[in-house]
Amino acid sequence: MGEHGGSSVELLRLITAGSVDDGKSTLIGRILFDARALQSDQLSALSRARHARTISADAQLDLALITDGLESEREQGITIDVAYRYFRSAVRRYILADAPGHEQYTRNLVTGASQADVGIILIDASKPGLAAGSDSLPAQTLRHTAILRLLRLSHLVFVVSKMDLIAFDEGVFKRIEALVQRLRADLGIESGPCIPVSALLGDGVTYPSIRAPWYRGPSLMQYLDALSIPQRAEPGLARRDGALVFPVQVALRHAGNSQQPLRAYLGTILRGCMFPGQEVVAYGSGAYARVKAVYPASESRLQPTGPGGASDPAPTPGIPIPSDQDRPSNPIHAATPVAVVLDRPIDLERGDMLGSQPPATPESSRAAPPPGAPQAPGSSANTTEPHALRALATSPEAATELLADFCWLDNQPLDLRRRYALRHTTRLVKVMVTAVEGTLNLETMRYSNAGKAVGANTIGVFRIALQQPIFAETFRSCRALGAFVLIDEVRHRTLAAGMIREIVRIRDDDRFENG
Amino acid sequence: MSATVPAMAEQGHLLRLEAESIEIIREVAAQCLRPALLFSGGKDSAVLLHLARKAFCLGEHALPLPFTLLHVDTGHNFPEVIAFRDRIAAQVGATLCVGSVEASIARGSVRLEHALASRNAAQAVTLLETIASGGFDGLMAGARRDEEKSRAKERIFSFRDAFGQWDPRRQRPELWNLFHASVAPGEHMRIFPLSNWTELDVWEYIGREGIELPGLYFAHLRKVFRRQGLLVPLSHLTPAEHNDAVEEIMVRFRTVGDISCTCLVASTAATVEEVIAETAVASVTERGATRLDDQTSEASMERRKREGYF
Repeated sequence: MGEHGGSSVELLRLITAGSVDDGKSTLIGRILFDARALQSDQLSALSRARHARTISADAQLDLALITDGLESEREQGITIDVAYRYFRSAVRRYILADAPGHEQYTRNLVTGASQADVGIILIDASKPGLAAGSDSLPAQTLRHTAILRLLRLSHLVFVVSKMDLIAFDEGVFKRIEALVQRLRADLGIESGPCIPVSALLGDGVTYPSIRAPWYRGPSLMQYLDALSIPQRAEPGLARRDGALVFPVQVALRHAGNSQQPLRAYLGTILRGCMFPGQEVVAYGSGAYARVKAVYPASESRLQPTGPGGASDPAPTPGIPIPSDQDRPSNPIHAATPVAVVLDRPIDLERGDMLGSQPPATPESSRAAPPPGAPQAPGSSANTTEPHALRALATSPEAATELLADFCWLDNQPLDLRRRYALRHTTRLVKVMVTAVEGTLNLETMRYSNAGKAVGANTIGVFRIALQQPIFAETFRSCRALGAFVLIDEVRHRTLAAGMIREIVRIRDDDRFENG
Repeated sequence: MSATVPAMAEQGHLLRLEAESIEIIREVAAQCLRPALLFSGGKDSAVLLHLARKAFCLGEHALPLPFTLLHVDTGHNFPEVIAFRDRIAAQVGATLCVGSVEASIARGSVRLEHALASRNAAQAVTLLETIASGGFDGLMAGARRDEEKSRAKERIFSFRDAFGQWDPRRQRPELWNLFHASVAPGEHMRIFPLSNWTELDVWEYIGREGIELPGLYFAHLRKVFRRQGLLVPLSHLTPAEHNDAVEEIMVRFRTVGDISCTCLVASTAATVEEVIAETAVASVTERGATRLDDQTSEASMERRKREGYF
């Protein structure tokens, strides 16, 4: 498991957001062109394309058309849906999601942003208002920034585009930069650069701008290549520190048919680590068990596919599961898909969660971890991260009422009379939205009071009552344990993205008191 | 290890892609009532099947796959690929369900302009018939976003209506790793666990895992002629016309599909390592180098996908 040792990130996920015609597609085309990620047939297809918008001087191509993949997009000259691009710099690989700017496609922006580590927000320097000294950024820019902030991307970088159209005017750039600083302060976004670029001419994107000598900061790609992102962002938003959190994705009752009984649990370790002999608790039932064996999927030893291997594909009845003494007990870390076998049958199914300590209660979340709690072999190697170990005291809470930020994505408005389904990790529970506490006014960046209708693209805060608990934390403390979606099970629609602000009420019972 | 085998950082990247794909495959097994995996014997589907087996495995004990394998046979597939498909399906112990374009032609649901016309587009009809008769609600396939522009816009869990159509304006929001696969009767999901893989990733993974492929993917001598700048294999479905100059050269297939529209690349790469080295410096995309049918219009893949094509 060598990839768990280093802290370098070999893959960074980006999302670009900006208003209509801010030059986003051209910027991406430029990044790909400079990274030599475009191949000769793609370039010749661009020169064949019927709907050219802007032609760059050096490439002699409409770079924007690279990302606009759909026919209707090319006809209308806009981006409708997220397009994913893959390229690499000298430093690392990138996945870039190009998200649409139009308000009616906000759900696509949210989709792209939920996967991203870094947000790139474009501001068009040539917009008449900005050039003339307007004292606010365009409403779409505010909305996109608010959404990326809500989704807690690790970094947000602002790019001031189309500098060639304002003759690389330093004064205009400085005014925009000041507006960006104010927006960062308003939304509580950590500082980061504001980079002047001309994607058309290639200034400031991969290479430093030669036409803006007054700008001393990095080019966009220099900045991105130099970023270090905490490991938690990848993949599945997993973290390596802390106590074990293992959501059960698939519960197997037998190996193919009922004559071959087997209880194995498949899933990806969300946080912490797992090892044979470890004592674990099922958050749903409160039952304790020990891990008998844990098999990382990546180390599955499949029979070689060669002639002669065809005879006996089915496993023999009663798969021999070695006891923990028979196996080297290397801990298996977060973000690893595994199959787990426990030492005794307990009540555990898809949507349940295994932890190395019981769910937090108001008392336990203030207390230190219990003495004698199972320790991972080799966990002393983690002493270089004392803060991470202190954070280990937290574990998910059995939440039955939530206060959460949301972004409503469906065309049908929220109906407070309806019962919806809520999906959190692998768990699906029935819920009611009991109150809308406020909706975000994008002009003022303030939340207004309740009572407003919630429809497509509304951002707000609501209160949810759950029929069964989910094992959750706030989105601020852990993205994977704080994120959920609302689902309309009748219409089979994904209604809203949710981010837990506060766990208002937790399950009131005593099943863990003697644990 | 030879010099062409990727460095450790690249291997870490493969582990991440593998983890993401396995999580997706397990999610399909958990959420879909009747899932299937499209297995053509091509390299992407061989990687997908390998990942599916790893997803359902306890160490060295493979568990039965909780999906049917599905293939749409145009009747114009390379015989060695069909033989490979059948052998691997038997070896894995999976049920293989084959939909036949020939049968659709016999039924009258597919009509071709002429006997040798490409059956590639007709696959969509047969596929939808196969989905309906098998009652499948989730179909996994090995398509990747780096293949083509409209694929680049497709969700990992991609919704299809009762007519099998992909509507780019009605794609489901797809948030974090909280995939949502439920559909109404008659509708289905197509799931692409390799969405975030590139052609190079696929080859590096084939090398790392020792995944077996049909021999067509490696350099061999073959009679070919040139058309529209592409190398066309000489076959009864793609006969040379009088002004086509037939030559016999070293070639390999970069993609393997219907004979009538799959072309070759000139290559001497006879091993996975050599293919990786060649792919890393390729100057033309995979489909651009090998597909006659994608070049008819800028949006031909998008149009076919709207009609139910993969």
